[in-house]
Amino acid sequence: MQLSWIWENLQGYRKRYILGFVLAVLFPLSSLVNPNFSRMLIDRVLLGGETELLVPLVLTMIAVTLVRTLMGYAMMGLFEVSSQGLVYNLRLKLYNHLQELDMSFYDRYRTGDLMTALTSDIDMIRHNVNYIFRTFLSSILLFAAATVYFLTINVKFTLVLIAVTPFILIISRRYIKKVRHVYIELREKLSLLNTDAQENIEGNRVVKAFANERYEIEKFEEKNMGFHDQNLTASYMWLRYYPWIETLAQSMTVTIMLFGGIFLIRGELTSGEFLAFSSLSWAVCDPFKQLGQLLNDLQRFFASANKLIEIQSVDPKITNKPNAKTSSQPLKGEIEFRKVDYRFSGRPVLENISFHIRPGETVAFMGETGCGKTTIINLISRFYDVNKGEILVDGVDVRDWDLQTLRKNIGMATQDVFLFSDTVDGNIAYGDPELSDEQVRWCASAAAAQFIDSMPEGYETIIGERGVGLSGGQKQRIALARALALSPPILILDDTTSAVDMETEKYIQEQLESLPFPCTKLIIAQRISSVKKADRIVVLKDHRIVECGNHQELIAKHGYYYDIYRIQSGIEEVAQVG
Amino acid sequence: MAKRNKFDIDETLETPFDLQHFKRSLKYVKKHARTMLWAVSLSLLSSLFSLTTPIMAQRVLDVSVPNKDYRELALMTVLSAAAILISIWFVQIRSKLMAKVGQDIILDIRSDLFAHMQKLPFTYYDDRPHGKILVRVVQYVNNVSNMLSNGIINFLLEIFNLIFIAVFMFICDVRLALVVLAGLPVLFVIMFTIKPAQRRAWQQVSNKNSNLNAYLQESINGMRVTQIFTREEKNREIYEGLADRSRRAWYKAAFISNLVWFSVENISQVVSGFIYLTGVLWVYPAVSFGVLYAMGSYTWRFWQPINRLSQIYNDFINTIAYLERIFEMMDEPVLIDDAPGATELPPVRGEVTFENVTFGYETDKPVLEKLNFTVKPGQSIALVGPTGAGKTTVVNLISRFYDVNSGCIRIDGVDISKVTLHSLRSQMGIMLQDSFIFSGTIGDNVRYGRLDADTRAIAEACRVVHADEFIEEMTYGYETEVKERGGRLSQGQKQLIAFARTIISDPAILILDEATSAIDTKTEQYVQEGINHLLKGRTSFIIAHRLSTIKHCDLIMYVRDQNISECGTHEELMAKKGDYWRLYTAQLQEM
Repeated sequence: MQLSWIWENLQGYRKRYILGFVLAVLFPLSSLVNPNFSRMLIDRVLLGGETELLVPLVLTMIAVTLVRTLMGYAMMGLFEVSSQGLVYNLRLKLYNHLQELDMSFYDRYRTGDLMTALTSDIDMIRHNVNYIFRTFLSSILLFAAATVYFLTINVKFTLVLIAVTPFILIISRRYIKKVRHVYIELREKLSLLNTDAQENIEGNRVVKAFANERYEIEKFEEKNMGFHDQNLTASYMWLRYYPWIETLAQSMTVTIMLFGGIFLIRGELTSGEFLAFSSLSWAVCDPFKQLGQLLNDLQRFFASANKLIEIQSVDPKITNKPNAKTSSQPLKGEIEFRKVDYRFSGRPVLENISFHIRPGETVAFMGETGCGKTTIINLISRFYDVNKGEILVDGVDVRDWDLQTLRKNIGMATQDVFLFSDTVDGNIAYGDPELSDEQVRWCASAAAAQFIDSMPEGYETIIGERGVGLSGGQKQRIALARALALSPPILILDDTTSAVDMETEKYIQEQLESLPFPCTKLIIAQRISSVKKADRIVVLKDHRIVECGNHQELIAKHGYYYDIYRIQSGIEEVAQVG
Repeated sequence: MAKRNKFDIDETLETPFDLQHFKRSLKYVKKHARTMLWAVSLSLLSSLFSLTTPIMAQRVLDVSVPNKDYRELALMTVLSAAAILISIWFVQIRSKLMAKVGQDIILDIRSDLFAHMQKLPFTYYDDRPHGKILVRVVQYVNNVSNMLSNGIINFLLEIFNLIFIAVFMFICDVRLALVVLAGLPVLFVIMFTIKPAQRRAWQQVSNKNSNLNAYLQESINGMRVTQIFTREEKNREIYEGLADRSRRAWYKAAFISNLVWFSVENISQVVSGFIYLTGVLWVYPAVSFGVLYAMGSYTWRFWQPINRLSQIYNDFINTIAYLERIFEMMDEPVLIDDAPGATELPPVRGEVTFENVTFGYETDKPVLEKLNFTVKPGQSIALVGPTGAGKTTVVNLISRFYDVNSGCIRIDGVDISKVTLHSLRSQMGIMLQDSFIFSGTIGDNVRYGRLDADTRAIAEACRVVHADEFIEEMTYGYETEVKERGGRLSQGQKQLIAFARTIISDPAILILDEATSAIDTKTEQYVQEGINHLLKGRTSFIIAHRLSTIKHCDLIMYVRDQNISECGTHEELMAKKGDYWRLYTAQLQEM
């Protein structure tokens, strides 16, 4: 299975790979040419005195070597090219696959696991495809060729000579069985090491904030030691089997001596035949010398290949229907929830949610932490699918929309602002790299991100990964500019101004009111000031909608919204003091 | 400030090629010198033993067979079998020793590298994609293991081998031996000619690989944003370009490196041709046929180890490309470190003083200038002001994440730059703007604040910040597994966990930087109530935008224009009708 997977991914390089194998067979054979010439040189020039043959012979030998090494060089090149080609294909395939997978996949796999797969595992595949497979093949061929050759000389002696090979194979099989899980484990240890280092790097601020460096070092040491120990376990495991396999393999040399001697004494073998055997004995012994490396690397190959295949075979849950609806025109921006239920691992997150948002409306969502506000917007852009009910955008069920069309029409500034280590300009134009400079500047100014101008290199300043080094409010404003850059018919702001001061927020609100394109706005916020101007405010509690209306209506209602209003405006205290 | 690096910028490294990196790595090898000596000896003994078998085979042919002497034959068989067994046994021991040495060396290098990483300042992490740091710690270190263990041993063995054969050649015939050696300068010239290109090529491989990995890691971390913005196609193009460049860099390096093998093979063939030419045309018949024959085979035997040495040399050049990256990181200056003779900060009462503090992330652009204030133990301080004014900077300086350019910060009268970082930070509870969650259980994440906390303490901390409700509602409660990127916790929930993590550390000084920005007002009120009794007797610095969070603080500082423009209680500042008053009334009007 793993091999057909390799074959499949060798697409575009198959011919070169096969040609490489052809050369890999020819190349060792070609080294049998020059010994003939050197024998001729000794026999005819040195012993026979035909001096005039000397220069032509020497030149021929040099020419043969040149051709042979060129062939070898070409072979290595072919293997480099095709194995790198395979790696290239695999990388792209996996990368595309990762881009298609939904959040439930990322809930299961840590970044460190995926990094291990796309670095170390792929490299292990490359190493095997480039080197181990061909060595394996040429070892077998060499052994087979020598055996056939021996059989033509003396059947009985040959059989005696190779009698040990079944035992070698049996031991090898037992070894493979035992070592398999060791290498699977080793791969896991490497993955743990990667994960630990990766999270330490990502969380470096938290580590320092808690002065937990020592703890981190201890934790890492444990993983480091685990990887170290597992490597040794693998080496030692091989070294336990090595003496047996090696002894059996080398016993062929002794066999030649012992039985060769006996056969010679009995006259069952001529000395010429004996010489042929002993001079070619390396051809049957040498393949076994590399057995250890071959077996071990092959096991690692299987461990790595299985991991990659496992990742590749995870099916994205959120996919396009066969004839999903596409649209090149911007959508109108109408959103409707009809009796939507959403559960996560058996627990309700949203229950019986229904609302209708007309194009151009501004609707705000409020509610306690974890009440499902963010889930609502995740359902609109189809990061999850509903369990019951339906969500319509422009009158079409989101599951019937082409995913790209749907998401391209939604501009979202998420709560957890993730910026890329790219220029400010590149970050704002993330959704539309073709955006002109003026447009980028317009988006930035609408998002109150004028501070960019005072950065060291303005829009060309490179932001650190995840936007580190910027204040929370600055990050939020760049994220808002990034969402605006799509000119989206639906704009979703998930707590986008929580770290922005009041004056700036007010400015942003004014900008959002006069966007030069039709836009339905969904706002999630905690501050009354962020939501009060909305056409409607939806309050969620215990997975359901409990209040819905505009500011005045909800104030009049004296419910949750009114409570929040009182707390935030300080009326409560005034009342108490008064 | 050096320009930040991003995924498509190669990290330049301007050190001339010298053996310095390799010498430095020998520091890690040195402590295994004795073991490695053993390994070399065992290898030599092992090959010595295996060399005896041809002699015995010879004897079988010359003596046993013609004499039909089965006893002699049996004896020789037993002897050579014994020799083989011993030699295998030695190899086994050597392999065991060296497996351990190789693993120990990379264990040490990685430990040192990681320990150094823990001291590096924020700026190091902020200035480059994190994937580039990761490959060094894991992949690159793995890559150097073989060179530094078996590579060195094999190098020594091949050199012995070479000397051994050279001696035999010279004993055999000096003139012909010189002809064989004459091939060496040619090889050296070739090797030195291609070396600069070869080294650059391997550096490129490590660069391009690092770029590729950096982009990959960021792509994984930012996958949600990519999907939101439907950037998949564009990202695929970028990744494709990076993967292609990485592969091309590899081709180039491989093609150049394989030239070494190619040259060795051809030179040795030319040399052996010359042996026959000179042998026949020049010295023959002065030397016997036997000598000529022997020289022919010595030539071959002499160039064999050279071929293997050239392979080691290739690995060496390759390894250097990784070593220099590893050491470059180890040499990265630790900007914030314990001062020489730093003392432990005694248990903190909580007085914080800024004396003429000036600070800028870049020296010519001060963020704070001549800042002065004193906070009495137990006071709660709110820092307010426009975004980017320097509020976070003030708290970063108290935790000594950065050092002041001039002036001095004291805690209980002690200059914080004179105490150990650990004693300083471990007495502070710092809650940062972004609440990074480690993969593990929720309980583990809270425990991160105090490593010896038991489950009761964890539950208690969560109760204080009102996080217990949603955690206990989950199927596995505190044992629920979360991932750093996990989409299953809302931002507010993450903040609550981070908050619990902060207060469980029982800090003397509490710093809350937008600690509740993603938490709803109701929950925030519960949190407030929860921590109110906790704040008593502790100095706390709070950065927040919601005035309901701020107004109860003992002291409100308005940060503006590199300094504090106003400072006082809510009532005082309201009476003053300045910046704070404007901010407050603006917010009320918004209501």
